[in-house]
Order: sequence, then structure tokens, then C-alpha cells
Amino acid sequence: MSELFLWILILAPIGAALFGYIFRNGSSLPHLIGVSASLLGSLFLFLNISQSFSQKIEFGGLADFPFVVVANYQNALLALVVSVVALAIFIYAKGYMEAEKGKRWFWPAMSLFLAAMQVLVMAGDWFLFITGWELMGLASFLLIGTWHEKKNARLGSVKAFMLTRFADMGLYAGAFLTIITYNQLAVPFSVTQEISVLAASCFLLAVMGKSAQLPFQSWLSGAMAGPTPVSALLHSATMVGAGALLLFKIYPILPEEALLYIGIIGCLTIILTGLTAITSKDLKQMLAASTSSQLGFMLLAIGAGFPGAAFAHWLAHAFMKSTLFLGAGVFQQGYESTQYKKIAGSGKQLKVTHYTFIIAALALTGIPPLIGYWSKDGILEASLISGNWFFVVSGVLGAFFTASYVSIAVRWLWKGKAEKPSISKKNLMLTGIFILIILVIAGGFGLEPIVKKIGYSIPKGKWSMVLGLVAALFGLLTGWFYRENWLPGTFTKFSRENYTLAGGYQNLVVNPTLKTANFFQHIDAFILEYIEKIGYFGLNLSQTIFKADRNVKTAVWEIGNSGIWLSSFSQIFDLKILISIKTIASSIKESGYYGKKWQSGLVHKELAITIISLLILIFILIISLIELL
Amino acid sequence: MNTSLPLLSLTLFLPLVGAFIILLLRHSTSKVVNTVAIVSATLSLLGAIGIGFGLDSGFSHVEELQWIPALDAAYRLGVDGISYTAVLLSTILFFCTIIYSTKKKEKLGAKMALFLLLETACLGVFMSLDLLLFYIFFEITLVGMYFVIAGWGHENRKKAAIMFFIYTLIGSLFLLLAFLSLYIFSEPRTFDMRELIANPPLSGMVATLTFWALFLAFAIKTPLFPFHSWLPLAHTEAPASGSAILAGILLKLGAYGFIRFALQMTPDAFKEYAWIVMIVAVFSVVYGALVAMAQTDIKRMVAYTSINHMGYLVFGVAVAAMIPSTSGIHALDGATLQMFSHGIVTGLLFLLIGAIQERATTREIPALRGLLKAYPILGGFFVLAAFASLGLPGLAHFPAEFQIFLGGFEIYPWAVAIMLLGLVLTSALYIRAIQRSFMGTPDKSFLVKLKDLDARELCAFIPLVILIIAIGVFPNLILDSIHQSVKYLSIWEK
Repeated sequence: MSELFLWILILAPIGAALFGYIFRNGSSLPHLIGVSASLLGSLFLFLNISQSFSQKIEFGGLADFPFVVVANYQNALLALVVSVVALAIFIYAKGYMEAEKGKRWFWPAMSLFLAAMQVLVMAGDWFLFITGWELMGLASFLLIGTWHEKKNARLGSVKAFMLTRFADMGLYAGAFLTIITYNQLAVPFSVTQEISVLAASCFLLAVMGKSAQLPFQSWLSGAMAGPTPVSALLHSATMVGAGALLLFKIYPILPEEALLYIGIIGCLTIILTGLTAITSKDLKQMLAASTSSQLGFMLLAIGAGFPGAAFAHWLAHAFMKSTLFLGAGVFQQGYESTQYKKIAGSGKQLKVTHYTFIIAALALTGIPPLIGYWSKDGILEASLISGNWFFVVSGVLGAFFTASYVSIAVRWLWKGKAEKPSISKKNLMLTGIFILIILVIAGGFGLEPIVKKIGYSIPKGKWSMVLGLVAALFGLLTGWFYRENWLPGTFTKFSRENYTLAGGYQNLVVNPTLKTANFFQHIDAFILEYIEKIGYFGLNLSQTIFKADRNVKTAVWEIGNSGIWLSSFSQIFDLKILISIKTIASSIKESGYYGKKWQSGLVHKELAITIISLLILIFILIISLIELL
Repeated sequence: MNTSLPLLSLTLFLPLVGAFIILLLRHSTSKVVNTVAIVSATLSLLGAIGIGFGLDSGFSHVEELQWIPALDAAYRLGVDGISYTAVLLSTILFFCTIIYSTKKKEKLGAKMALFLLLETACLGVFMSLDLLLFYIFFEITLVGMYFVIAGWGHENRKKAAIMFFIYTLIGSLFLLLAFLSLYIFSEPRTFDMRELIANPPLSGMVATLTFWALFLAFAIKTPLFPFHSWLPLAHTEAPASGSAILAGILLKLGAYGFIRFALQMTPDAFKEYAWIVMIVAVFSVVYGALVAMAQTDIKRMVAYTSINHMGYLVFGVAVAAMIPSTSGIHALDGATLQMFSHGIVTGLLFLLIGAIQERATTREIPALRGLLKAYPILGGFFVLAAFASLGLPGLAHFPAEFQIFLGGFEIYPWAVAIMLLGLVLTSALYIRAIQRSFMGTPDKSFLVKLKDLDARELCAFIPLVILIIAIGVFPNLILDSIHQSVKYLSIWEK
């Protein structure tokens, strides 16, 4: 049975996405059905699975490496949380998108996104894990670009995709190293061998990209150009949460040294993005920075060696942050903006939304008994147990910052005067918020048992409770009275703009890459030119050869001619010789005639005459030859 | 299933028969011509699917007829998992391209006949088990493609066609030399490829020279840097259907040659010089991606990404030449699958660009805008194919590249790291093109035709779209038969 539920929870949203794309009517119904089916599937799977039970399903795959989906308690719980949050957001989005453009684009991408997340959660091998991970990247690209006629939506979507895609190469490299180490495609569960620090660092790179940790946090800010339900879905339980989820999966095989790096990255992000949230002038930008900061807390807990605390915070954050985003979306619908200045005082007009916003904000701050208290307390205790002062200071400072920035937001929403907005379909939006706020209020009590059931523990202690509460209360007060001039102006600006150094990615990465591309394009043109030169050289050569050939032909012709000439010449020669011989013969005759007289019988006389006539003959021959030449 | 039916010959010559019928009926209506062309392409496709049922690890469906006994050259056909992949790809892509080309145009009969002739030639190359037969088919593809570019290309087609012809002809001269060397040094002398694979005849200097001759021949065909100059020019001028065939199938001739000849007939020389091949391949990956990024013509851009993808492929083959172990098998599995993936993805991309060009007056990325809004289905298909091409998991390229990288990672992690950067560059260039040309508000001024895809185009594109997703999600569909053959290649035994 559980196999069936498993397939339903993954395939239902895929089916919805396909249906939505093919029929293109922008209706939300198939997608609401898809997410509901996914929720039911994960719920039944969760109920069907006992603590120790774990079912592996293998199918298809690469040669010798089948794909694996794993249905165990942890995965079922994660899938359940994802689909609950998704259902709330989908219901809310039906109201939110009612008056907006781009529904035909928005809904299939939402379902695709949900499907990708469920694949990621249930994946038991690296191939499927990467598939879920990257498909989520595609879906986020589409979702952030929902209103792609606006330039900042286009740029935001490209930035989100490219930054995470770059960091994803870490996931590829880490996965390759792990597969080679274990000689299996499946994500290893039993601890037999730790992966190398290099492999862990590769994974960390991927986590930093997906979870928007330093220095990749800026894509999250650009992603705010998408519709608010998208922000709520991406930045609560899914996209950014995927990074932390990777760490949960590989925690058993992480080497000690890597934990320290993870913790340090988490701490730096907590502090710096916490400050960004404080200096922010926009409600959604504040929430985006806060997301990075809260994910930093999870990294901190994992670095301190307590994945249980991180896991608890993952669950808690999913509910709290989506509530906050959905609240922000209501304000945005009412006032066409999320800038603090434009929505100042709107809390008085949208009271229900504002109360839920305050509750979720207090939960994020860590006020008991709301859900955030339990997890934040666990993380602070984890940092205390680790004994690393940097972790402790960052954790406490982070808690203080968290309280400050939510307090600033609540003050903006409360103080000032705003007109009464008109929002269509507000009830649908509030329904979504109510589903989540119940979990924020009551979920804290179930958090620990559930986390324990998976096999994790949440550390608890008096000191952490005191530290956490003091930091929270102090932070709330500070935030309420905070004025922008408390911090130096240059720092405020620097922090608000996500610590953009030297022109940021545009100057440091994009432009040099394009320049290199152009340079190579020149090389390519050069090669083509060169090849053409070779071609023309060949052509010239053949022309030369042709000419030479013609010359040879002429030469042969000439030789032939000269042969004919020669032969005619020799004919003349023959003739002349003939004539000369005739002449000689006749002269001999004549000389014979005269010679009679000379017949004297004297041998010496005759000899002399013969020699003379011979000499004359030779002379005549030579003369005739000279004449011929 | 070794029936007496000569399935290979039937599949091979059906398109040629179709071509003859079209020539006989050349005065009839375009409807008749289209029907004949589609029917023969369909039958050939069915034949290719049928072949798939009788595959085992070695060469299957072998057919042998005496031809020139004195030279031991014969009409020998047969397929294994590697060549079957290429055969299947050819029949599928020709099927889609022929459907795409059914639009009434000038010289339709000649075009269809030429395409069918090309199909027979391409299938012949992949099915041949005889060097001489292979060479003949290899040359026919060249001639056929020359006429496609010269006859139906864009403005500068004559120059591009001649460049293509001469450049690749030089490559095939090296191929001829290599074949002669293989023939002369085999004992007893034979053109039988099975013999030459089972007992690679060459060693020492001759093997090295023969390997480099093969390398040159196939590096030009594939193409690898710096032998690629003919490719962008040919693609810029070729008609969309010609480009789809050129990139989808003719480039695979080179890839297939690397596997079948360089790897299997001169394995030792390949092993010795694999590192050079790898360097060339890795450089081609980065080079292809970067130059593609600098293009403003969307068709040229896609053409250059072929160099990038073929770089991955040749790298995979080089890994297989270098390490005869599981890593090598992974890499070669991946490289063979990459042939198929690149064929369907790039084939689809070129056909889509043809459809775009019919609707917009330009192919320039900066001028095109808002295509997704103007043509949601066309734009959606392009985005899907582009994401497949940039290696998104769940689509066709990823399983191939994943295995190539995995195989290569064990020996040269740095080479793979560089290629991963190539992957990022490819992503960047496609995303950039999508962002500039497909997103945003459409500029109606340059759009000629305002309708989205019609039935003819849908019939041509949808099979490829489905295949791209199917291979991404269930790579085992194709991979099983590839792996079955790759696993038992004789090169692993040493």
C-alpha cells in the first residue's frame, strides 16, 4: 500500500503540471487537486509507516545503478510538511493570483515545483536527488519569471538560476566522489566510512547556493520579483530548505572538520544577513534576508553536531516563514507594494492578517510556546554544548537580530495611517494563512516527539532558554525603537544591497565571462579566416599548377613543333645532301672525263690526283654543310 | 529473434526505394510525394524498432553477401547496442524531419528524395560491418548533405556547401588511408570489421599513424576544436531540416567512428594518446560554450553548443580507452547515450529555430523578443529543449553526461571539474537567450505569421519532446541495450 501512496504523492503534482501546460487555461483546479492528492498520499504514507520501517523501491535507472526511492519515517514526515505548506500556499495563491496576470504560466510551474521537491525528499540515490534539486531550479526560474514582462523579474529569475546552478556543480562533484567512495548510486545510510573533506566541501558549496548562504545570498533578494506565493513556497519549506535537507541526508558520513566549516558559514550568514534584514526598507526583502539568516541557524546546529535541532528548526521555519510571506502578500495586494513606507499603518486596516503576522513573527523570535521557541532553544543549547564561542556568540546575536527585524516590520505595519484597501478573494488568502498559523501556534508541542521518533534529539538547557529569551526581548525592544541613523549610512546601504563588493556578480563574473566569450569568438573567426586562407592557398596553388600545366603543355607543343620543324629541317638537309652528292657524282664524272687525260699509269700521279679530289670532296661537303647551317 | 527476414537490409533500403518512387512520380502532386516519403520513413522506423527486439551483446541480425571475394570485401550488415542506438536515432530523426519538411515548397520531390537517400546512407554507415561498405555510405552522406545545403540553403549557401564538402572530404581521405592500413596489415587481409575488432591488426608505429588518421577524420566530422570551422558556417546556411540532420545524425558519424574504429580497432594507440584526445575534448567543451555565448544568431549559437556536447562525448570515449574498468564502462555507456540525446535534443532545437524563422523575419537574439508570449507552445518546446541541452536532470542529456563525468571523475577529477564549468557556461548562454528572446513582451513588428505551431509542426516536434523527457526519466529504455554491448566489448579484456 505504501508504495501506492508514495507514487501518488510524487506523480499527482506532475500530472497537474502536465495537465496545466497542455490545456493552458490557467485554471487552478487541477493544481489544487494535485496538491491535495499529494497531501493525502504523504499523510497515508506517514500513518502507514512505523518508526523503524523503511521501504526501498528500485526502478529503472542507469546500467547496474537502479534508481531508489525510500519511504521511511523521516522522508514521509518531510513530504507531509511540504505538502501541507504547499496546500496552504496553493489555496492562498488562488486568491492572490485572481486579479493577476500570468496564471497559465504560474500554476503549472507551481505544481512542477512541488513535484520536484517531493522527488528530492523521497530520493534514495544521487541521480534522483540531483534531479529533484535541479528541477526545482528550473521551476524557480519559471516562477520568479512569472511576470517576465518586467525586467527585474527576468533578471531575478536568471540570477536565481545561474547562482544556484553554479553552486550545484558542487553537488555533482560531491555526489561523484561519494559514489566512487561507496561504489553505489544510493545515498549511503549506514556509517561505514566518512567521505573526504573535499567531498564535504563540494556538498557545502551546493548547500550555500541553494540555501542562500554567504556569498550566494543575493539571489534570494532578486527572487522577490516573483509573486508572493512563490516567495512563500520557495523560501520556507522547499527551495532553500533543500540545502539543509542535503545536510541531513549526508550528516552520518560527514567528517568532523567539515562540520566546523558548515558551522562557520552558518554563523557568518546569520550575522550578516541578519543585519541586511534590519537595514532593509522593504517587507519582502526583509523576509528574504531573514530566510538566509534562519537557514544559517540550521547550518550552525549541524556544525555544532546536533542535526536534530536543525531538523526541528527546518520544520518550524517552514510554517513560520510561509505565514509571514503570505501575510506580506496580503499587504502587497492591498497597497501594490511591500515597501515599508507604502504599507505603513496598514496593519490597522488588515487586522486579521496583521495579528497572524505578529504571531508568526513572535514565533520566529522564539517566544514560548510558539513553535519557533522550541527549535531556536535547541540550536542555542547545541552551540553551548559545542563549546565554540563563535557559535554561541553568533547564535545569541542572531536571535537578537531576528527579534529586531521582525519588531521593525511590525512597527511599520502598526504605526502610521493607511487607507482602507480593497482586496478581492481575501478569504481564500486568509484560509491559507489560518492553516499555517494553527501549526505555528500548536506545532511546538508536537515538535520534540516527532523529531525524537526519527532518531534525532533536541538538546535543552536552562542557560540557552535564558539567553534566548533575553536576546529575544531585548531585540524586540531594540527593533521597536530602531532608527536608521543608529548605524552608519554607508554600512546600511552596503548591507541593504547584500554586501555587493566591486560591482557584484555583474562586474566580477558576468562581464568577464562575456568578455572571454567575445575573445574566443575572435579566435574562432581567426581560425575560420585561417582555414579559408588555406583553402585559398590551395586554390591559388591549383591555379599556379594550372598555369604551370599550361606552360608544360605549351612546352610539349613546342617540342612537338620543333620536332616537326626538325624533321622538315632534316628533309631539307637530306635534299641538300642529295644535291651535293649528285654534284659530287657529276663532278666525279666530269673529272673522270678530264682524268682520262691524266691516266698516265703513274701510281704516284694517280694517288696525288685521288687525294686532291678527296680533299676537294671534303671541302665541298664542309662548304655545303656550312651553307646549310 | 533471428528470423530469415533480412530486417537490416529492409530497414536500410526502404528509404531508398521511397526515393526512387518519388523520382518516378516527380510530376505528381506534393501530396503523393509527401505520402510516399512519410510512409517509407515510417516503415524504416518500424523496422528499426523491430531490430531492437533481437539484440544481444554482440553483433546481431548479421547479413553477409559476397561482393569482392578477392579482397574479402563483402556486403556485411549487423548491429550491436552501440550502432543500434545510432540506427534508432537516425530513423526517428529522419521521420520527424521529413514530416517537418512536408510543407509545400519548391523542388519538394527532389528534397524528399534527397532526404530519403541520406537516410539510407546514414543507416548504411551505422549498419555496415565492412570497411569498404562503410566508406561508401560515409561518402554518400557527404554528397547528399552537400546538395541539401547547396539546394535549399540561405543566401550564402554555395560557399558553405563547398566548405563543408571539401573540409569533410579531407577528413574522409584520412579515413581511407586508415582503412587501407587496417586492411593491409590484417592477417589474412580482410575488410570485415568483426575480424578487425576481435583481433586489432596493428601495432607500433603503424598503429599510431592509423590512430591519428582516424582521429583526424572523426575530429573533423564530430567536430572537435580546431577542426570545427565548417560547422557554424554550414548550419548558418543550411535549411532547418538540413541542420537537424547535420547536427543530429551526421555529427554522430564522427562520434560513432571514434567508438567503432579508434577505440575498437586501434585500442593500444588510443590508450597511449588518450590524454591528448582528452585535452582536445575538454578544450572543445569550454571553447564551444564560450563561442556559443558570444553569438547573436540563435542558430549559430546552437551550432556551437554541438562542439561543446561532442566534447563531452569524445571525453567519455577517451576515458573508456584509458581505463578498462567500471569507470570506462560508465563513460562509454554515457558517451553512447550522449549520441542519442544530442541527436534528439539538437535536432529538435534546429527544427524549432526553423519554425521561429518562418514566423519572425530574423534569427538575431537581440531583435527577437517575447516569443513565449507570442507562441506559447513553440516557445515552451524551445525552453524545454534548451534546458535539456544545458543538461537539466529529468531530460535527455543529463543521464549521458552524468555517466561520462562519473566515469572520468575517478582518473581526472580536474578535467571533469573544468567540464562542469562548461555545463555552467552552457546554462548561462541558454538562459541568457531565453531571457532575451523568449521572455518579455513580444514585438509584433517583426513577426510575420501570428499563429502558433500547426499540425504538421506538432507532429514533427511532439515525438522528440516525448523522447527527451522519456530518456531523462527512464534512461534504461536505451541504456540497457547499450550497456549490454558495451559490457562485453573486447577492449576490456586486456
